[in-house]
Amino acid sequence: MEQRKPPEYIIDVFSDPSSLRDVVKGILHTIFFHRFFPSIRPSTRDVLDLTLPVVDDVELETLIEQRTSTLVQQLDTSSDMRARSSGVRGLMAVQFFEKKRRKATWFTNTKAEEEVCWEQWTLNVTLATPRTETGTLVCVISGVQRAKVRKAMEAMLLKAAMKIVTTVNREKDHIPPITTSEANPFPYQILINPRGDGWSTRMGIF
Amino acid sequence: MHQHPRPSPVTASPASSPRTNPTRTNNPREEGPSYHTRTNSDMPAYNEGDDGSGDSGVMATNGPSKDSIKKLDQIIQNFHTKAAIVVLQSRMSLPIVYTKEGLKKVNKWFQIETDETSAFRDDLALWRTSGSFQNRPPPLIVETYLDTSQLTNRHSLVIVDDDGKRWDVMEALNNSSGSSDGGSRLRKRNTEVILERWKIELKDSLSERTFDFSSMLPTVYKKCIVFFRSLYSTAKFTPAWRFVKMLAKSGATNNLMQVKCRVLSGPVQPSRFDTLTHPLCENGGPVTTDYFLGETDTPVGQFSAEISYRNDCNFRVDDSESILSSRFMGIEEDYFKPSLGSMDDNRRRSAKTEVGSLPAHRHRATDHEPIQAYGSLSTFHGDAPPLGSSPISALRAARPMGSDTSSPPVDSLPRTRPMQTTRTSMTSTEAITMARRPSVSFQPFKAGSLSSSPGRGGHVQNTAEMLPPQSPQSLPRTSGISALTQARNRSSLTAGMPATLRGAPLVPENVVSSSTSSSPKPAPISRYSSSFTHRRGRSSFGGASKLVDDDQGSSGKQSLSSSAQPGSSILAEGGTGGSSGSLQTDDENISEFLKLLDSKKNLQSFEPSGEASAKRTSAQLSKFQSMRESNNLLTESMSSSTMLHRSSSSSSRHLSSVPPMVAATSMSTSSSPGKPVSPHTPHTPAIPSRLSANSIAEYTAPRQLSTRATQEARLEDVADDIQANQTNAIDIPTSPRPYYPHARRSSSVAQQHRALPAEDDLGDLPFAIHRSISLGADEREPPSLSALLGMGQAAESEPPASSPSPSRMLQPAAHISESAAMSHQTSSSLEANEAEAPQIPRVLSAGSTNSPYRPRLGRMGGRGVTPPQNGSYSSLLERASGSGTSERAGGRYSFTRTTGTYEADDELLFDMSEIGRDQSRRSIEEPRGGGSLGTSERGGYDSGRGGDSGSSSRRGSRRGW
Repeated sequence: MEQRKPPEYIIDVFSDPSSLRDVVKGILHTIFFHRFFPSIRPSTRDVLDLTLPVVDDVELETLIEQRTSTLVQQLDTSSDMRARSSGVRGLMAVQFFEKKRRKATWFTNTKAEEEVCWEQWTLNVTLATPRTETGTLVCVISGVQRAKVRKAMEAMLLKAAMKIVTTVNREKDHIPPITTSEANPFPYQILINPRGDGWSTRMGIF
Repeated sequence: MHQHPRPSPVTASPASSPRTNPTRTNNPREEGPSYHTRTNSDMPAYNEGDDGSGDSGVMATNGPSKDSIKKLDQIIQNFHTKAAIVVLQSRMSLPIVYTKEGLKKVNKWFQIETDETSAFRDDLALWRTSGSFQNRPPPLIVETYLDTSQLTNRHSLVIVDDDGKRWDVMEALNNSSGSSDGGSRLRKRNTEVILERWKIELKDSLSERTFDFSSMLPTVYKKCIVFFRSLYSTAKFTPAWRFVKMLAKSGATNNLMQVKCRVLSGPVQPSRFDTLTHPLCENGGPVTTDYFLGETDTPVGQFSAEISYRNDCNFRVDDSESILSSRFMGIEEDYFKPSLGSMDDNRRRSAKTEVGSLPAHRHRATDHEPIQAYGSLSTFHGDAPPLGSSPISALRAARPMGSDTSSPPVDSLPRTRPMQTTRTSMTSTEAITMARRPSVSFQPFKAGSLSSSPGRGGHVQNTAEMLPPQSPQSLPRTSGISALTQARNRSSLTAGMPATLRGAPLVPENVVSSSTSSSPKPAPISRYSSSFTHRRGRSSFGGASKLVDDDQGSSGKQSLSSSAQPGSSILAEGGTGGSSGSLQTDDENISEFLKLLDSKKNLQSFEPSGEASAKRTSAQLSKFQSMRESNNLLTESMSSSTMLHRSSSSSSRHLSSVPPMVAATSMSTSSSPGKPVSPHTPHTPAIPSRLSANSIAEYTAPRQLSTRATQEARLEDVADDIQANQTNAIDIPTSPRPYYPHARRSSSVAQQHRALPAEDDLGDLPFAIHRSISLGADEREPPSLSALLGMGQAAESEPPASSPSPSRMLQPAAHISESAAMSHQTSSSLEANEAEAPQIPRVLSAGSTNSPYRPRLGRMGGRGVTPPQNGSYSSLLERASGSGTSERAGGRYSFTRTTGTYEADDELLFDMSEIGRDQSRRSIEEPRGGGSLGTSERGGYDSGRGGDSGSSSRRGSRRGW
């Protein structure tokens, strides 16, 4: 079981600085909405012009908030340097684990267990910064531009959300059995820029 | 065997949730009167299944236990009902059921909480009693629809497309339904539009039931959890949700537009008229989207869910009258009248839509036209004459489309008229040998937006060079007819005038202008007219004219009288008071331009020296002559001449064919074939017989074409007689033009003069120098920046006015022939519209400084076009703008391109020009909607990446990972 790599789903996220936080949170919530197995009362939140599902769970909400902040911060700091050459990118990984014990039976619910990742969602976040070199010109057309950017972001966000939905619907077999009746059966974590070394060096390519 | 006590849900609970929520909550829900019903209906079913299947054997060994069967039944039942509820609750507010304690009753099946509701109870009863083996559930269908039965006469349901254009929904639905249903015209009027259709079903599976699946159930349940989450999410992604949300926000029209749902069972009858898939507006895309929510395996089949939803749900209730006015604004009176009547009883008019139906039907009929028409927009005129109907219908269709948005009805009307006239008159003109008449037909061109280009030598040259590949397709037809008309026009204009070859290169331009402004400036005309006189020699006209003569009475006159008026009046000497304002301005501009020309006879910008050009021209003419002999068909000569032109000097070049281009262009261009003949056959234009005597046989093909065109024209005349005035669609390109030409022209002219000194006898390349000079100047001059800014502004401000409609109409064209050679053409012509905006600034600022940007802009618009095309591009743009001089600039530009000096500058200018490019592109691509991301990214974001950020980022990420 362990030698098999958990499936990884890549979601492209695209946003300008002003909406980055909402967009990222929206995507994260959408993922968790489909992976948070305790009974929930579904609710939604509007991001841009889209309505995205939200898991009403304090703990989860906190985690998402915090990780998103971290990511936004990172992107912000790096945006100055790279804004000109390319959009700023960041990665977020959402991982779901199952608590496993060797030969665990269906109803086994022990404490000595290891957590095995059974699924990873990778958010490929692109922070698009309006170009600055033509500052005044941008100002002139910013109205139109803004609308366009917003539309693009919306389209991208919808695409991402739909991808999540489609994916979860298509890939159900790898979801580990739910062996606990308590709270959330599957631990999760959100990583920012995992494998940072390899990634950051590669950014130079563009 | 029967009425087992229900197995304790606790132990059974598949989700391993000890709370037993699912079943527990399921039961209490049925409290009260319905509880009994449910148990009674439910249990028997279950028992039946038990008994009927003769379980004894099965149960003995591997068969599913009753317990598991029952659990599966519950899953199946709840799957359906819950799915329906999830959908329903996201579309409408359902009555909530409260417990005795005053709490909401909550259904927690599948780990997603929904409020119990008393609504749809009966509708869903069927699925509540279904089972896994017996009494298997039929597909459950939930339709969300927009109920418009509350709409009154005063209101109309419209759908707003991406461009803000409104479409009358009920009209679309009921007309088509009436026609599609044929006999059942009396059936009740559609008062609803289906927005989406969900289908939830348990598909059959081949798995045996002998298999004990009890251990599978938790997994099934778990997967169902995921499914329901995704179902919930999906319900919020579809356009219908957004519409519902919007409705809830606005609130005002709530009573008029109601989104409702209904639950149906079984497969949808494919035969019935489906208000889900019926197109309500023309947006070039599919009406609906199907989304498959995936399958969830169960031991007895797969749960599957799919949704088919309408992509456009921007419904709105508008005042009937506002729709009326918007729809008919700029449309001819005739159109307006009937519709008005119809609108009055819009609501009530059932099958008998006589009066009202007229507009509607037209609408309908032309509904699909636009795409085609626009697809060929670039070649519109080229192809149009032969097709006859297509241009008109396209125009008609286009009108409705663009009318709403913003296309200025004011200018469009006058201008369009000429256009229409042009077409009819084209054919009729041929028939008419009188010098006057031809000029009438010609006039339209001038006035017509598209036709503005004919004279522009520079352009034509470029385009001719660039377009050869296309010419074969459209040339034959175009050349035949258009050439005929052209020749005739010209000849008539210059009839009886001595042929002076001098200034030949300029001739085309002059001629055009002169024709328009004939009255103001008779003298100049004579000077330049010579080249046209030669044209007269073409015999084909004679033939055509004869044929047309017969129709003369009907078609020719009609057209002339009805629509041609403006032009004719202008043409009449002293009758400058042409009705249409645009024409007038044109005249003035042209006359001014002519004056300029007069003052500077040589107009060296085009030709190094008048004499040399004259010589060259004559030489070419002779060349053509020989060519002609070798070529029997006019069309062939056309193409060949094009090729020749390419190599030859500019003077002859502009004559070469640009037919695929805008209508006017093609017309003027096609005239070239005639040229060869001209020197040696100086006829008076008035005598058709002579012309025909020359070579009717040779020009059989063209003649036929013309004949056909004539006939068609006649038909059109009869049918669309009145409509002639209405067809404005084409005017869009030119619409801006009337405003600027004046200033633009003068400025550019001045520029040319300025530049003149620099170039001596450089032959074909004089413009290169020209170009570079001006370029350099521009770069040096700070004003250019501001000019650019201005451009941006102009571009921005412009779209609202004119771009919406063009882009709307044109978009399909770009789509269609994206890959083909034509595409460039198309897009270029498309962008011509947008290019107008940039042009403004140019006019405003010092002529010389701005003009250099012009070409660049145009080029930018050509996104990814190869250099040659770029050339044609810019020229196109210029031409569309309709200024004689600006075209020249375009021509110059193209020349420079050849020399290559331009390339270097190109890079530097890229960024700035990008703005322009952005603008122009935006309008085109916006309609495409969809994945505009790439575009926007390119436009709005880091230019450093060369406008590839969208794709590159993804690429990069992939590489990185």
